[in-house]
Amino acid sequence: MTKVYCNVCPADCPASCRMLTEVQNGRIISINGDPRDAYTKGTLCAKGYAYPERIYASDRILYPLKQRGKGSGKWDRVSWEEALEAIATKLIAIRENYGNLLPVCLDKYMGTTGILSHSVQGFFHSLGPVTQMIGTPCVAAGTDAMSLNYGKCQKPAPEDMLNSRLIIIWGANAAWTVPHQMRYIFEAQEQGAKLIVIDPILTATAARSDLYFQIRPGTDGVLALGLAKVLLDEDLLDHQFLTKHTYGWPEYKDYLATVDLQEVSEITAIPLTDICELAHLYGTSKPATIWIGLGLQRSLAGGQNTRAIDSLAALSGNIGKAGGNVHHLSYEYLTYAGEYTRLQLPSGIAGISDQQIPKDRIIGTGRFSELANLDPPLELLWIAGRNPVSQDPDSNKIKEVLRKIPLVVVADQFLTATAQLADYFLPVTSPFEFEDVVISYWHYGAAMNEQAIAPLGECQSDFAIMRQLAATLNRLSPGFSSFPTERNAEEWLDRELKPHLYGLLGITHYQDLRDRYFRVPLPSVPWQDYRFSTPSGKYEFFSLHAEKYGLTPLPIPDFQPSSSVAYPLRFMTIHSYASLNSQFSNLGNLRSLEKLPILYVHPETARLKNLEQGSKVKVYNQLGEIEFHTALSFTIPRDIVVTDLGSASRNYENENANALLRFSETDLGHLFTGYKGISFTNCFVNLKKVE
Amino acid sequence: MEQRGFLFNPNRCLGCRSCQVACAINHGLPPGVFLRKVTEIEFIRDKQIVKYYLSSSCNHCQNPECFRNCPEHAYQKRRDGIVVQDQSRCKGCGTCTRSCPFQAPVINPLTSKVTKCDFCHGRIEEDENPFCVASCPVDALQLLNLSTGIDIVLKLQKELPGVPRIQLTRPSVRYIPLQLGRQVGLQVGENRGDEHN
Repeated sequence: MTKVYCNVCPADCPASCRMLTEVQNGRIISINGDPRDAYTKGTLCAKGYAYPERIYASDRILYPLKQRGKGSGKWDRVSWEEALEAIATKLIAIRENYGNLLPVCLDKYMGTTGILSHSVQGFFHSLGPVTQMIGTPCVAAGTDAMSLNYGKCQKPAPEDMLNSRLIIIWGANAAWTVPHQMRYIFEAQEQGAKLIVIDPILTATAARSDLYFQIRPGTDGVLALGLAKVLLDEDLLDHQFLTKHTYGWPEYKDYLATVDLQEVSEITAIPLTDICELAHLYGTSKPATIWIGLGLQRSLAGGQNTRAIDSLAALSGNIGKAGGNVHHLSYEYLTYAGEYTRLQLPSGIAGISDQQIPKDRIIGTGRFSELANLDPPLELLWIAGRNPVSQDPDSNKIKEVLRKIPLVVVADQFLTATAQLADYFLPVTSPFEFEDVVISYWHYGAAMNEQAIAPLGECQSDFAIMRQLAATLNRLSPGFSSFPTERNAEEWLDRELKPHLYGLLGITHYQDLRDRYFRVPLPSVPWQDYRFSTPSGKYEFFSLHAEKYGLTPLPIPDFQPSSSVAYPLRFMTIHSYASLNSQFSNLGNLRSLEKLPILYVHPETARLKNLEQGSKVKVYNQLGEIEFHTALSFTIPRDIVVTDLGSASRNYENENANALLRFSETDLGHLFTGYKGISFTNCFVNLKKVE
Repeated sequence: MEQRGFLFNPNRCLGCRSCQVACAINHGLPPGVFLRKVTEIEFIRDKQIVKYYLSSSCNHCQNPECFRNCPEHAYQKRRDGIVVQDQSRCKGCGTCTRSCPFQAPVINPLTSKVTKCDFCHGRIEEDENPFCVASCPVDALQLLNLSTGIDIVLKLQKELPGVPRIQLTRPSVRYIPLQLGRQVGLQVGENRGDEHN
């Protein structure tokens, strides 16, 4: 007897694909795309198809574990009661010793985007003030940039690209990270639209473009200023829009007059004639849209870079028009969610009243060195939906800090690089084992996960874990947690979605989401009324708000650091089709697509370093060294070497790429999420052949 | 006799490997055993990089070498042109894996027998696409009936640049001609235009 269940992928990805899960005798026999999904048209990515392997993976942990010494690898199976009682006892002791719970820290992020997972933050709020790591390593700088220019970050519907005559993908490899979007782009191309890709690497996406520009990393804002200058010089401007609906145009215009195009060409490594051609194409193809990716904003000047690129849409009059605008991820839909979701990353702390902000001690995401020097010190760290050792800069420093924290709890499905340094490992259910709701931050589709199978082993959802911990705490110390333990997951989800989202989606209960594709009905073309949410009510080239945050009010990026003699090569990690950050890359089917940790090297650079195709090579800098196998490619510049995210950590015991990355902040991010973003593109290394 | 085949569009393939993994998982193959594979083709031509992805499986050849060489006569060519292999006859000798110019048949280590793409003919008979075709997010892979002459009408090609030309077995796959855009700022050496994959 086979039954089909509706599911949705909760991975931190724009597509949030609906899936159909076939179950026979309590076991999943297949997972495929749901053809009713209006965005994906029923297809999944390679990772999505590999879900059955992930659910039943032999290395998935199904029972709570306690480690005899962090990093020892000596794990003992314990009961939930034992694990939670030990954690609860520690929490109670901390409050007794310190008089508060500030020595307790939560590091939770987007390992699952399901609404129910916000109950983890809900639990910690129920304890009173604690320490929380907030902010986002993902879209902080870009979200701030958009918010400065427009007042808030709004985006067109993804399908609006079908209306574009010109699509510029700037710093994104959609073919591997949002493959479904390429369907709309190809359709637009077939209707005559041109596709332009700007990227330091000739990616799978760039390979399909009509025009590709190999830009020097981090100089995107400089290129944008150059393009703006050409638009000005050639009078490819929308004067009416500039006069009526923008603030600071005279100042911006004066600045652009000082931009030296020859210098722009030298900084960006793009020939002058090609800069002019690109500006001309953008200025004359109407409507034209720009998709600002995540890559370029994770550089030191990522925020100002994004503001400068975005300003092109204002100059050319593409704002508020179908087929125009700028596409950027947006968490706007979260402003319609209930109280716990709104308090959460990555929507951050903006837009909620002071009373709602708990009096937590706040640490920026990824700032692990700060965690080690707190007063009162940290006694307990809870990590959920997050793998900082793999994903945050300076992995070895993070490991060192984790070793020093007396009690580290990791809730996950696998023994990740971070979990290996936990004292307690709590096994979390896969999305097919509990009911939840996921809303896409790209197409705003809302879908639910039905419980297709019983939890494997003793796995529990994050929600069930928190609820049980709250109950344990209150048994040992009545009134310790105000978490509503009497409320089940269904009630929790219902209360979270009811106030706003039910009305917007036109449903009466979240289980209605099973029946067909639903989308939060935000405008498919934003800013049509030209009413911007900035202090001036206009689109702002000149932002006093930016000035308040220590930036130039105009979108002028700071200069970038460059390589040194000792470390002449920039080391970049890119997202692969075979992994999502550190997720999925442990699966046999995906690992076998690329068996070895690969380092892509330009053939000329390889020749200088005596490397050949397949050579073993050591990548090193001040922070450490990692071994790779060389793959030669002309698709990258000579001064860059590239690996894919997850490649180095293909084997958990191996080092990972971020071990070589020093922590540095982007220029923006603090406005919207409370903390600046993290720069991932300024890692410089050298190579040595391993004989 | 009919001849079914694949139509592949290199201008759409993203190299995302959805087809490869959807096929393997839905056929319950052990991790790392694939009946369809996506490979990247990359070489220099006229100071531009020719880069695209090729998704390929059994080509259900009109003159299949597997069929001709199998000592157990495990292979059959169906009336619709699909080449199928009978697991019960296969002794796992590997003759077909060595004789196929496309390395389409592979040994399944779980059974020690050869397995290969069967065009998901069971699904086709139920009016569903093979897993590979159904999973492509951009319709880069489609089905084709070569008996209709549509390949000639659509000016489809039998080969792609940078891929060895193998026509002896008359593979039942056709390609949309590859189109390339213009690339600005590439660092391809003046004298280093030698092709490499």
